[in-house]
Amino acid sequence: MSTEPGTIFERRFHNRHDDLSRVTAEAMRFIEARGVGDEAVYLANLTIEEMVTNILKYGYDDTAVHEIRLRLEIHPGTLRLVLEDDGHEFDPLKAPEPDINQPAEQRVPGGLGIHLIRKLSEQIDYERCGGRNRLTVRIRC
Amino acid sequence: MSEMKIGHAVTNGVSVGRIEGRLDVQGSAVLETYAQQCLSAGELRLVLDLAGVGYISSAGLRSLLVVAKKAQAVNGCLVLCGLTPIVLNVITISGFQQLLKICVTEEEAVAAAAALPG
Repeated sequence: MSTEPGTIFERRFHNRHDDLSRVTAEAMRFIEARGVGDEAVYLANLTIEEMVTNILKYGYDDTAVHEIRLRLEIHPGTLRLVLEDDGHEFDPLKAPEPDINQPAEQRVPGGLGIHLIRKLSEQIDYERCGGRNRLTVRIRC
Repeated sequence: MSEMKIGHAVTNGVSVGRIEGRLDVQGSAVLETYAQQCLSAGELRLVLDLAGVGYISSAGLRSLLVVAKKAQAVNGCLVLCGLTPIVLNVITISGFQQLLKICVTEEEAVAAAAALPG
């Protein structure tokens, strides 16, 4: 798949909430400026917030600075979002589906966000390579 | 990212919070503080108008449930209204529509909150 200049957004940032807020805002400005529909903008925002928040909460045992990578590619009809981190191996596709009849506080932490992304996205792929998690989410746009 | 704002009004003994902004991790904290202030002030029948909310995450969904439970714990109630299509869809696919009282308009929500036992 070829991509023309101006259709790719790439950032490397640290495992800090301030960095997450800043990069999310930049990513949203990038997507909105390219005429992507409201639902795709929403889902991209949700995916970044939910998945990076999970990485910050559960990804690391230490307090060191780690690098998280975000890449967005806009193709005709599809927005491709790739997140990479060097935290613990975590395959969200293997996370149990939350029991929506169970009280929220008894559900698996982080499970609700992943459930929403699974339901709303076109496709999710996960791979672990070179000690890094790589999550690719395809969003209709 | 702009901070969330909540406009507050009391109609027929029902507190109405009109939320403008994002119900993300930060917005959820603002919402929970607001609701706690209402409940502490003895305003036990709460309506949240979400017409100005274009973004909600799992943190936002959880905060709505937290507010509903806190209100119920003091014999109060929570009714939502003004849901945008995106927010309504997310509430539905997360199964939360079974746990939250939802009306279309603010008028209906105020009437429902006033009529609920509490």
